[in-house]
Amino acid sequence: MSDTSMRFPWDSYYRRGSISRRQLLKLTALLGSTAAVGSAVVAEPQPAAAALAPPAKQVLRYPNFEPLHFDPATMESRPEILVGMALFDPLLTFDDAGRAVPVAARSWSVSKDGLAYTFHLRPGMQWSDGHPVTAMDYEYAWKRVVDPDTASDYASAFYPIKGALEFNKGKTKDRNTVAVKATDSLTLRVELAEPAAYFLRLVSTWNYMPVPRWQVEKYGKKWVEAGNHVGNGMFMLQKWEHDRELVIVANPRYWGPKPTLQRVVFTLTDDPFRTSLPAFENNELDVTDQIQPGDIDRVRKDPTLSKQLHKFRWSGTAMMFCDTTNPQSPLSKVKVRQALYLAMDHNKIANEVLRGIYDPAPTITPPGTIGYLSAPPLTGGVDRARQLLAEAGYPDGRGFPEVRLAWPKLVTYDLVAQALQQMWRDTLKINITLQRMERKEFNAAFNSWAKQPYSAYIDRWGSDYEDPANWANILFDSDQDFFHTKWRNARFDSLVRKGSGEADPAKRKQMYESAEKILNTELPAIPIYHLGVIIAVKPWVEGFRLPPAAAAWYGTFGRVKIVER
Amino acid sequence: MGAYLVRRLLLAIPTMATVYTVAFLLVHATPGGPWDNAEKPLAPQVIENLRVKYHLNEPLWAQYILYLRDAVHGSLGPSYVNTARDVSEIIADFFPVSIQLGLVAMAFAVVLGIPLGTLAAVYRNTPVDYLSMGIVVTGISIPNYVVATILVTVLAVVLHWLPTGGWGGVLDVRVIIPAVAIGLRPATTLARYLRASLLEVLGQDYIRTARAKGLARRAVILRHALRNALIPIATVSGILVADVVTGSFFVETVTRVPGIGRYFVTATTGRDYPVLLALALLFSVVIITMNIVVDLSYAVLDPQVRYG
Repeated sequence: MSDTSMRFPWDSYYRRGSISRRQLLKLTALLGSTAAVGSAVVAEPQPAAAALAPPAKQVLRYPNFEPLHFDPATMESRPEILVGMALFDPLLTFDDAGRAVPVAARSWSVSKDGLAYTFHLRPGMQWSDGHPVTAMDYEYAWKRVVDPDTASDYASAFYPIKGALEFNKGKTKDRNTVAVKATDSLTLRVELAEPAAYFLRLVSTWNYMPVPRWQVEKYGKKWVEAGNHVGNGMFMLQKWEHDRELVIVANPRYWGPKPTLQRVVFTLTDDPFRTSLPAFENNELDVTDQIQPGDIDRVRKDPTLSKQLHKFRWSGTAMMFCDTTNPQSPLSKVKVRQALYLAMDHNKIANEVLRGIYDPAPTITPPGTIGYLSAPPLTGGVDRARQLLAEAGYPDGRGFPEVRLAWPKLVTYDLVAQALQQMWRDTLKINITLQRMERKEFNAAFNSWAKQPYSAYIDRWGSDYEDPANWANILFDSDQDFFHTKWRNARFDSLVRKGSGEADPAKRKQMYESAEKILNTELPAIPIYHLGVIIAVKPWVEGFRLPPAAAAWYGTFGRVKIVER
Repeated sequence: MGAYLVRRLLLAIPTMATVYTVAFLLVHATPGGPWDNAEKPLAPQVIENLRVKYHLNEPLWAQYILYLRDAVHGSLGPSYVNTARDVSEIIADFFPVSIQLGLVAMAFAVVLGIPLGTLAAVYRNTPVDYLSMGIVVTGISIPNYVVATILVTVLAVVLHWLPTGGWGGVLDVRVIIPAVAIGLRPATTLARYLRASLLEVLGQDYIRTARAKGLARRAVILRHALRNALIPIATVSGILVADVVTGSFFVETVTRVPGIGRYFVTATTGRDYPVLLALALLFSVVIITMNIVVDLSYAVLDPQVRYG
């Protein structure tokens, strides 16, 4: 999904001087393209005329934060997941069209009532140290995540499994009460507490990847270090010099197709956002990290960099969350929230304030996830906004009490909050007080808002996997109320609860779309922008793309090929 | 001298205890804890499991004693953020890097600062003095992370002479940018102090005597004046060394050096209590040590100083 630029394959010959500019123009014209040479052009990189580099040069140099570890049970953020999903195979993954694709599982079946899942593993798979990969490895790994001793942040991702919640909460000490069982070395059976149409999506996430029991038992928490780490993925961990460099190499024992790329060298720093761009320009890296709003204008104007830009969709939304029950806050009134929403210029925020690094979000659930609405249910613009504000009791903003908008320190939130304050002052004549907080301070305040009243804050949610179970259900179901909006709508609750177990995709879609309409009319959270990833990639790197949700990062490095420069 | 040293070391104990107590209280008084995540907040049960695992469910005074007991026994505990690693391992990884970088920076500071200060004093109120002091004022005014950014942009991104960052030890070219960035300010401090001190010494009678004896100007300055002018420099250097070896967050971040200064800030924003406490203790050890070293160096440099 690269956007800004794509050169034609022969463009690299031109830049190396192998062909003249005239030849270049001719070749381009032959293709019937109207695009001007050197300016922004067409689609995906085509694995093209350029010859593949020899295996010794099949190396990708990539920036990353220092990862914490590669233990599937407790991995939780991008630096770990991106690498971890190259080191382990989940049972299955999902392609861009949303179809389940077998990985370590050859096939699977679901019982009629949707409660029992049986996975059949591929025979003959090996761990990177030669141990056979068995269903017992998955059983061990899954039970380990819910073991309270592991203290995994993601234990709740296993709660749909019968017995997992009870074991994790310490109601029983017997791990065999968790209904995951390897019935033989290649068959894994799982029973759910209730039907969950999204269970396969969960299985495709990193926490459901297997763990080498013998290494864990031998080395304890040190099993994740290079030398001790054993995986069953396409790559394996070769070297990890903390905070300096981490190297993964193609795993010779991998069951599946061998990757073209032989090594990925990760340069580890604690701020790749700021340090990766200069290193990329000095040719120390093949890919940058997220390009920041402060750099993007320069990058777009730069004749070389502008051609190396790629933008990928990232499934997520930044929103302004409101306390819908706080009587002191005008935001507890639906009409006020609707007025703020309608007076917000989404295009201006995404394209001018954030310089187009993110996309406008007229609705909450992002594209690619069931429930996404292509058109928002609320319309009418600024005029309707003023009218709604008057109906709420604040004509022309008169008598509008002080509203405090908090957010955790982040460049994009800083820019957005100031723009919103300005926008609402200009259109609705109301004043919002801004409160920027340090991350951990914000987090502590956020956790207190489960009980304490507040006005509003900006934060975002990024999909672990692209399914409404990861959106409507965990974020806005009034029993979950992840973001403490305290919003309660009986019809919404009933729709999303039915939807999460609904096996018929068409019915499921309809339920979630109806729920999304309610959500985007009542607006306990006001959507601002959809997330995205904008990075620069060297022209000799082919096939690199970042799928829109972390669970789909499986296979990211397997697709990459390095061509001759 | 031995008795003096013992007394100084004993005095360090209450200092360390104070540092520990203040650091402990500050760390726990800062809003937010190690598991206050908002992007992926943890289930209450999970937080409870973690708190039990790391004794955070105990009363504060018990935590105070527990950590102190472990620290005295040499165990600094696991990092809360990076649970796979122990604090002592983290320090063993990062601190030597900052020490090495700091020493290279200090060497640069001496090589630049001493000649600058000497020239400024010897050629007082001439263009040489103005130029030296101009460099000094510029060096003091520009924060080191700006120097680092400028050096990275010019030497790496534009000229492609050096890599933008990383670490390969003191003999690797990647040390140049961070060492210059960190060393510039100490260099200017040394130059300023040396100029003042050298001017004072040059006005002394024994200098006039030396010149009257017919000694060469060069010998007077290098052998008689400079040697005596260096005594205040030793004091300043001690503090400067303690400062540079504990690392610089900004420079280490901009130039991707895996040093302790950067880790200190990461630990603060992550509320990594054991790491923060350990680093507070470590830094106070460094500063106390450097102070003692400076005091002892007087005895060597200045025959008038005696410790009994």
